[in-house]
Amino acid sequence: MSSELLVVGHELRCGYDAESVVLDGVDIRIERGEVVTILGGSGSGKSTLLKTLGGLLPPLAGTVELFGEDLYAVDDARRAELLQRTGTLFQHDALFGSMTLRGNVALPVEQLTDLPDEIADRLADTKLDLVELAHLAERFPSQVSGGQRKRAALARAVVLDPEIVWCDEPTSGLDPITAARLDHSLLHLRDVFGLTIVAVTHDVESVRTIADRAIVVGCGAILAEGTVTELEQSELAGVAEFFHRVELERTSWQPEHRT
Amino acid sequence: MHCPAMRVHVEQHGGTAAIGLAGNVTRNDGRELVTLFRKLAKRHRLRAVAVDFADVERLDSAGALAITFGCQALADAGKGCELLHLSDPHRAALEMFESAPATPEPPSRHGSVERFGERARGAMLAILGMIDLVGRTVRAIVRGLFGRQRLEIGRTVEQAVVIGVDALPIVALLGALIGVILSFQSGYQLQKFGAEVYMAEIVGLGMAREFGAVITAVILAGRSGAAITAELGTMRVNDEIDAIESMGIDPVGLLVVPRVVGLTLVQPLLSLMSTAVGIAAGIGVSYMIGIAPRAVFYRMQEALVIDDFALGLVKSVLFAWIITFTSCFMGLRTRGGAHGVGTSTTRAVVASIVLVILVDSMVTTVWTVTHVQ
Repeated sequence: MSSELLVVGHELRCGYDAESVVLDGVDIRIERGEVVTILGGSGSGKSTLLKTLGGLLPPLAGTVELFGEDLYAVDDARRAELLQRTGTLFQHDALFGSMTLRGNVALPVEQLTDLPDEIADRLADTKLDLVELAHLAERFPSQVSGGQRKRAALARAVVLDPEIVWCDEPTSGLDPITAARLDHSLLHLRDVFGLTIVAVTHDVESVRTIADRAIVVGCGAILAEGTVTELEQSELAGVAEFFHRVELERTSWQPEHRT
Repeated sequence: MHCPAMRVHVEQHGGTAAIGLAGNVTRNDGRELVTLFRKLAKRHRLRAVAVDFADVERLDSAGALAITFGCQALADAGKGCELLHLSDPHRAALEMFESAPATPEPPSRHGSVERFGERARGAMLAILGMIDLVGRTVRAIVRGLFGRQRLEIGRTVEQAVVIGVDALPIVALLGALIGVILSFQSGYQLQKFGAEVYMAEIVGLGMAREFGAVITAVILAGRSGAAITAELGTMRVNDEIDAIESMGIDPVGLLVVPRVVGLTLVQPLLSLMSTAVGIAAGIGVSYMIGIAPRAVFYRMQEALVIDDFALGLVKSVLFAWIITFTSCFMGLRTRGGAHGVGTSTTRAVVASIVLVILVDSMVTTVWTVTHVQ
């Protein structure tokens, strides 16, 4: 794996305004080819951090370097160019209801390239095929299930082979089998395209499947980072508590579902 | 990293062409590659093309697909295409398109007879759905009056205020403008025959019987009807209405009845106000075109009877029902996200206005036939 740094967050203060700072003093570095997950409870600021890194929410203080350039210091045109090298999978899929799945996936190709229409459609179909949705290409988002919408949104996020994919709660609202398929799709795309994936989640099972490295946020800061195994064995306050709560949740409902 | 642009070198020796690719072959290069391959496919003496990937750094899927299309174009022209020195990532990117299904042909469209049949069936289902909604609304009101269902008085008052009070300025303005237009058009024409005082009939009867009610209905269809459809449609696509039903609450009683009753209460009042303002504006204009306002006023007192205002009020109640039932019906049957909400809203406004004009013409015809000796 190359050690090229793609994302560097330095002394970040994240939030929507000065009165609602959710993370402060955050330093984060993400290398090419890594799958990094950001873990934390509800309201811990993990999605806010993802938006800040992904160019959607300027930090209140600090800098974000994306591909070696200060994302929020460059002009709008340059920022757009940098962001075109990334893709985003939104928590609620953010597909356009007026377009078919193929139309949704082909949209970035049509808007950002001068490729002929037949190549744009074929590219969209191929990406839909990668997430096992080619047979539903003519359907509208309202005509498919939540898991299928998520996978279509993933196909759209990767249609132009971004170098980084930001995933906000990719498996939220999905049943375990569908969630596992989405994780599989992410890993498959990582293997094929050498993607760097940054995913925010509270699904520890998903983290175990996909993550090279995990970062736990809470109490307004990064509490710990490392492999999932390391973090699960951590004695640090906040980290141990987070995994303990997750384990408690898991063991409290699993037997009920198995009987 | 970033990002040496693609460089292409083409050489032809006899029947074989060698394409040397270098740098990053990406989405920005797809069109150029396809064009190059298609040109090569047209060369008569060419039998095969060899594409050398030795100096390619990055090959994205759009670039790989362009090469796949290019090789296909060569194959279609009976020429060979060989890919040399592929690295594993390049090979993986190209193989992706070998296994992917081709884009299917769009399904064939139905003929005109089938389309007409589908539309007729859709219209019939819409009429039945509307009748069902009216029935459920009447039932909910009756059950509410007899205490068997909660009567949403607070919501009804809220709707009456939102629909009625907030629309006062625009209804008054348009009523006045219609009065002005009627006065100018009729006054000048009648002056030619020395019959200018009869503009009182045209303005008075026109506003009381027709324009007061119709113009109010058109405004409310565009303003309040669209808002009702958009609100209910958004609730539908966000599963909020399913949530109401799942709680065992009647969505018609909760959402439709307050809007129907609210508009039924305020629309006649708005129509009356529109009529009054229109008549006042017409009398004002008569002064401007040299007709004594007092004469026009007295003439109106003689010409207008209570039945004329009653006709306007009856129409306004009918229009209120048309607008609310159409808007609620379109909102409740919305499907398909933001696009569906937009489509339903447009349909609701158009259908409301068409039905208002249609019913107006029918009522006017019946009234005229039965009241004019």
